[in-house]
Amino acid sequence: MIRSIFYSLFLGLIIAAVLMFLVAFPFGQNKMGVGQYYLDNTVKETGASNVVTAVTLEYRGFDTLGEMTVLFAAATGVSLIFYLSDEEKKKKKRENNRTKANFVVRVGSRIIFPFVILFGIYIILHGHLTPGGGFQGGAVIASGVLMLYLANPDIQIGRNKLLVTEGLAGLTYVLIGLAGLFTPAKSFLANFLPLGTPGFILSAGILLPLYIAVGVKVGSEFSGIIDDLFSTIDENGGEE
Amino acid sequence: MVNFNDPVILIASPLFFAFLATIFSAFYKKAVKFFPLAAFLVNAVVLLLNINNIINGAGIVISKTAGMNPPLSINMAMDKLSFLIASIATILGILVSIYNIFYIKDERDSKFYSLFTLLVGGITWISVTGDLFNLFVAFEVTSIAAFGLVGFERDKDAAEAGFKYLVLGILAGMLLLIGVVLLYTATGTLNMADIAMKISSFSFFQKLVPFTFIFLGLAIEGALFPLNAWLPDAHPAAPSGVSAILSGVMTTSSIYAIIRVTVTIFNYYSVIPFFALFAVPTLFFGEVSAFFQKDIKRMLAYSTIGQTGLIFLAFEIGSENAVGASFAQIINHSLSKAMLFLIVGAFIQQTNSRDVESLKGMGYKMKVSGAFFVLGALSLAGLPPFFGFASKINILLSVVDNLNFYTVSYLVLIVAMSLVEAAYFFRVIKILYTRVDSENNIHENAGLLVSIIALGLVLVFVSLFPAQTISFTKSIASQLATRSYYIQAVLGGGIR
Repeated sequence: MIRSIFYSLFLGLIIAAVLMFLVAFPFGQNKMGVGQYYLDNTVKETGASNVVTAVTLEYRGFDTLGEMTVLFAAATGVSLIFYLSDEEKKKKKRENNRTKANFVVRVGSRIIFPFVILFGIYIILHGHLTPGGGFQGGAVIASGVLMLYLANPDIQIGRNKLLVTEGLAGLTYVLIGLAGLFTPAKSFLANFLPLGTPGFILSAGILLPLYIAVGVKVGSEFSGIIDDLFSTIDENGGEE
Repeated sequence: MVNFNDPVILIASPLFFAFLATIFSAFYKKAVKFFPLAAFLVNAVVLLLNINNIINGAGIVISKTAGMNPPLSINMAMDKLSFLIASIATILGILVSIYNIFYIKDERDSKFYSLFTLLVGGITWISVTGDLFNLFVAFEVTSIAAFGLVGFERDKDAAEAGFKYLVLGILAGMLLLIGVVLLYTATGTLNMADIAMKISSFSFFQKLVPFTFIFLGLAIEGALFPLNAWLPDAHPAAPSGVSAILSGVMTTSSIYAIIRVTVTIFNYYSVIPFFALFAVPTLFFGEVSAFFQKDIKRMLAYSTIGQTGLIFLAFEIGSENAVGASFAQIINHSLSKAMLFLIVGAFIQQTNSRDVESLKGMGYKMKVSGAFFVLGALSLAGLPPFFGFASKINILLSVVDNLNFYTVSYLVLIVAMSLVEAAYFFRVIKILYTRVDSENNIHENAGLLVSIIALGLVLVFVSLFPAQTISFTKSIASQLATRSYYIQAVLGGGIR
């Protein structure tokens, strides 16, 4: 009781401090500093019709590389902790003898799967034109994989293939970035491809290849995490 | 021509090799163990290309990304302090990578090497970034890599330590993020130099709210006293090479971030005296707890807390000499603590026990490791003729220079805690050199000795030139104090 009062007071103090800080600054006016610059100049400078994408991949593209690395570290950490050798996996599968979903769900999921993947690819490819992009599209693709696993827990996706696509996508991002060092701008992630006409799919220079790399990476990483988690779950729901 | 001294390569190279390791892990696992070494050798070359400019030239190297000038895009700003942290991380990264090749025997090793590369690369990233949100991202990369590595052994200890660290580490990240968001709301920019310029019009209390969030986040990562519950579990649970990095340079990188935020960004000298509230108990409880430990790795982990407190206390005194001495102590602590963890790892590989008593007689059985343990322990405890003596005596001298009611107590505390430190290290040394007549096949692992000896030689080298090292750390402190130079260099874009 005393503890919960203490926690509420503490939380209240934090909220009060944040609010008192925020009231001193006007909200939504043109005092956003760099934000206003991005709104005014993005289309001209990057050729992307989606300002958010231009900010995440061009102006703050280095942060996106970092976020991608965070996801990579998390996925690698999960597979490090939940790792099972192939024999252990087979043994586990025999012991578990999981009940499959019924026929309609299994076949239905296989029919829907290509469409989910297609939708994911659409979101990734149009990241610089419409809301969406690599992270979102990759998550959609991984949700398709999750659906397959839910319908039939015994399927195996090629873990090694996922590792290769994951690594290749990451390398692509870093190499596109490093290529920028060799351009006249001499800086990491400089946009060295032609900007094209805003609104077309082949526009915005390096933004499209970067988002494809992000999409492939996010898709394969989430699929890998799903595979790792499914292969370690016991039949009674508990984990080892 | 490309600028091969671009600090961004310091980050790109570990990421490149971490991703490459994932590809190779699918079909040619044998090569992966050399990837961390390759990544940090590249970094060493980049740092060597910069060394002249940092020490004799402009003293700061700026690099922009996406071809845009700051504050529009993220920039790297490597000044002397960043260079120091990055160099320590790279030296330890190279030597521990060699150590890991002979230490890690596990079929999951390719994933281990990916994460290890990200851990050390992330620490370098923290030290060179010039953007506040990028600093948060770098902290996330480093700590998420560390969570996995702490849990690597998959036993009960490692699972508990990893989970504890995960919860507190994520909390730290969130606090840091809230602080950064509040600053962005107030200033409309994320570039450190730009915030530093715009924040000068803020009142004390306007600075206090975002500062508190950022400070608390970094204090959890830097293991300052009430917020360090994760460290004594996490550092010992990790494989010894990882413990060396976590204790040697990761806590230090959080202290670096606190210094960078307080001095360069917030220009917040009025809040620095309050740091003693964190530094004094950190020093006291760290060293005293270390004294009572029976687990050798846990003892070293508590000693890290104590040393972090000492480094932070010296910074808190605030004079140029004191801040310089605090950076000298960073050098001493990083090198000797990392070496001690590597040696203890070599012992544990032979005895399979972390109990101090199990080390009985190891000094005779593993002569070289034992000798280097003595070297590291003496330097860490601050005994002459090693560098630890020079750095500690400089801290004490700078306290004497600023003698007042409070600092007298620091003097007593630092001397007393040095005695405690010497006491527990001598106890271990005595156990190491107690003769026992047992015939078992304990022998040196030549592969592990390579990095231990190399690290010992670096420490001896620093010990041979204490005056030069101290004068370099003082020049770091004086550069840190002139923050207008930093702002000018980043936003003016003139210096390269």
